[in-house]
Amino acid sequence: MIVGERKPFGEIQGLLGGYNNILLVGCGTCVKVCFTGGDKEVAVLASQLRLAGAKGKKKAAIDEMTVERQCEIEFVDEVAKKFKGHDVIMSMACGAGVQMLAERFPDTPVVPAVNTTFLGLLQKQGHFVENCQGCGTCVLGAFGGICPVSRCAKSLFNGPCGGSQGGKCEIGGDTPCAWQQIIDRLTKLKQLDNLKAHVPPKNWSTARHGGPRKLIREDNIL
Amino acid sequence: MCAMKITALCCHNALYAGLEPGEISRAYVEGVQIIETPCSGKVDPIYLLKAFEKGADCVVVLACDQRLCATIEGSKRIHKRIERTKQLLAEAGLDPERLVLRIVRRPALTSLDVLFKGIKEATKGILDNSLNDTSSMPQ
Amino acid sequence: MNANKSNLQRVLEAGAFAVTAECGPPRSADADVVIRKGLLLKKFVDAVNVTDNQTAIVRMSSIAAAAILKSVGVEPVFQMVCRDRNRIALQSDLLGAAALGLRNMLCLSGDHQKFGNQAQGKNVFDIDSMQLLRTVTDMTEKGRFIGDEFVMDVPPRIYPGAAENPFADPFEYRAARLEKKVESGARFIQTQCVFNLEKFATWMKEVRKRGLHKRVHILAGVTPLKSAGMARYMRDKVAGMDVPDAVIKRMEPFKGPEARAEGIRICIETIQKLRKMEGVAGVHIMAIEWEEAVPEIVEKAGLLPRP
Repeated sequence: MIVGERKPFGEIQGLLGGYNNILLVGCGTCVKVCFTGGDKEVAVLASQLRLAGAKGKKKAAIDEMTVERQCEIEFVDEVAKKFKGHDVIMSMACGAGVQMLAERFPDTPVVPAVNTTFLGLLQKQGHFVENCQGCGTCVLGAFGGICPVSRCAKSLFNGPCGGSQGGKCEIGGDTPCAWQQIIDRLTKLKQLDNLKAHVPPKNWSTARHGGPRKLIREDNIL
Repeated sequence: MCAMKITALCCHNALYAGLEPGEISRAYVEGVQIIETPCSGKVDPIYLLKAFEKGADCVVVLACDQRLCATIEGSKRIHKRIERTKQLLAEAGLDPERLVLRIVRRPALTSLDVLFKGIKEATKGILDNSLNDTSSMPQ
Repeated sequence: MNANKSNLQRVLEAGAFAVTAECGPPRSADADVVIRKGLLLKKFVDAVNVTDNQTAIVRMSSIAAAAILKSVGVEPVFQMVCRDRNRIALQSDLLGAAALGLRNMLCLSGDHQKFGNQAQGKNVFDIDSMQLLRTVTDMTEKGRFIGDEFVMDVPPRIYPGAAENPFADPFEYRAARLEKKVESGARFIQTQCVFNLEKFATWMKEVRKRGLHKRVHILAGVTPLKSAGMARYMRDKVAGMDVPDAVIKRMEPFKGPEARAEGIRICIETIQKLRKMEGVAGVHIMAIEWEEAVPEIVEKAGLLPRP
């Protein structure tokens, strides 16, 4: 899932400053799961904005709606039903959703309420962690299912650096050393010898480094 | 100076341990609106924010002591949600002290008088100027 | 054939106990600082390492500072971290370094940029230190770049080394990692500074078991302590550092010049113990911002004259 965090309130107010007619749109998928931009969060943000604006002379009108996913035009089209010439649309979706809204409503400014951060999973209640960077050439099979690209702070492929201590990464913040985890996992799987082989330089051209990527499935196009 | 408007969200189980059903709806005390909740575990930040939007100067949440919660783990949630809501209020420029949590030991609410006294006492000392007092608005 | 070898390579291959030291380039464009440090160390060491933006703080580039050292007759070991440059820049810089006559080089991962003064920058890590070692070996021995059929007419002549930290975790894996570096072409190793001789000896035992000491020259790192405070700082704040309590206790009673004298004494004793360990081919003295201490240490440890 994609994880993001709501922008600081002050920044959101800044993005909405000067607008009187606001449409706040949430997304019911990834950002809902990480308590950042679903229907509940839309309601809370709208309420906060009204409370903050209550003392002012001009009060902006804030409309709210949430769609299943903002990354698909089929769902984003539903926003048109509630769109009544608002001055600005603020999206609580991830960056992809914000851009889909912007494409769908090219005559209206579209601004983000969320900082999209990473691809990851829910490790335990309230804990979301990054574990995939979309490098385009998945080699998880060689590393016991632990990704050195996303989980090692230096994306090392041939073993840990000298800063690994007590199973933790030198960058601190309780970040686990991915290489400690890989070694532990491969030891458990009796596959530690996998690590003897030299891993040559990675082909980063399939990652974002090669330019923005796309997937076209001809077999699914009528 | 307007009278302070208080919205109190009270756990149903805490209320009716001591009171008769229907007593709340029959009573009326100036400035206090009672909202029954099935459990304090149901109280989400949005309900509290909405209460302020609707004009409450103070919002009081009455929740059962964790050890006596009738739904076992319901009231466990309220503490962190109150903290979160206080953050949200502060972001929006409101004094987080206007939101008060009171833990109740069933069956402590033995009469309406006790209930309303408790609510007033919980909000004593919090700023008196009502959020809806037009005389205090910036010119 | 000897003319093609660097001084460091000749000393190590002759079986003499080698001595290297470290020089941190300045946070400025001042070449004189580099020259001063170099000349201070010249007669006391076989080669001088020049760090590469250590702890991710911007300093004069390692290759430039190394070239300056060479110009005053001091043999350098330039360092290359994988944090800041992609494979294009790394290979390009290797060609440039070789063209400037620089031979010895150390391949490193590099401290994460969050520790330095450019914490908001991107990091690169296009290739890791192991892959860099192989790249140097392929360029040197085959005249080839990464993934390219093209063969250079004048390949760079580089004597590559790597760093190893016997005190980092996972401890059981460290000798295996050293073996991998040797397989990748490392000719010499410089370790993280040794205060915990027991743990170092355990690591050396593993190293010898795998026969690695016969395939690569290992220089043990040492650092003279200036104070008990410095010892504690290294123990608590520097990743991958092992400073036993016994060492800190030795430093504690002393202050100022007396503390520094004790720090030097501990360093000399450590060197003498390391000399006696089978498989230790030399020492790498990292006197952080205290290069003046190196001549005294080298002399009192009985390591003069240099071959």
